[in-house]
Amino acid sequence: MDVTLIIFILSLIVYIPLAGVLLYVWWKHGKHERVVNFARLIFLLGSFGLFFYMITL
Amino acid sequence: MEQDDLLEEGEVLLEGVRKHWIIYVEDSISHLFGCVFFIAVTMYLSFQKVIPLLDVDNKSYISMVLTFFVIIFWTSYFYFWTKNYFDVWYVTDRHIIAVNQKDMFERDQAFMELTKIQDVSFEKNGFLSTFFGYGKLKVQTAGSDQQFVIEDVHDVEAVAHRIMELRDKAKV
Repeated sequence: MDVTLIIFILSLIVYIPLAGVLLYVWWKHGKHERVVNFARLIFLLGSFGLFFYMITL
Repeated sequence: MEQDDLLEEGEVLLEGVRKHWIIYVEDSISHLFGCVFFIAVTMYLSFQKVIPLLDVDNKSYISMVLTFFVIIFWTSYFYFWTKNYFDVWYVTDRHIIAVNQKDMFERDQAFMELTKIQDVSFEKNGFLSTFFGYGKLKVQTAGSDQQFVIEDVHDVEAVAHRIMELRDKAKV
């Protein structure tokens, strides 16, 4: 298996549980809060951007 | 909103006491430095050809590893942000509701009646704290050892005075 694919899968394995916890806490305690919604948007956009960059390598 | 669930019937939320924005800037800087440090070490190892995988010729591998570091620091920053942002006091016309987000799944909520407040004090330590006006706020109740403390509060002096005024009004 290609090493870049292994690193990509490893990144997903590390990222998904951590992001899941964050999104859960924001949903649980920050419902309808504009600042939390904005933070979620920035976090997800940044994360997807980084993973998209990894895919293009 | 979450704070609405904490209020009693007819209770009015007056303000939310949160941490100063400089705390988020400090976190950003420390994470940025951490990220740059790991990138520098990885680049050094790749140029030294210490680890075959990070050989300078394998540019895509190096880029993948560096992006992996960035993802870790990116997520870590938002962990710290969450802990700071959800550390909040809600001041109402009857209570102070202190919410302490110690960790992602560790959260304390405590209620203090305004009429039972005995002492309100604040501390500003250091140049940044004095310049930007943030600091540690402490509220002590009468007749018990209970003390509420919140660190790095925005405009701590004004908040302390407002709490004292509200206590005086509540006691009348």
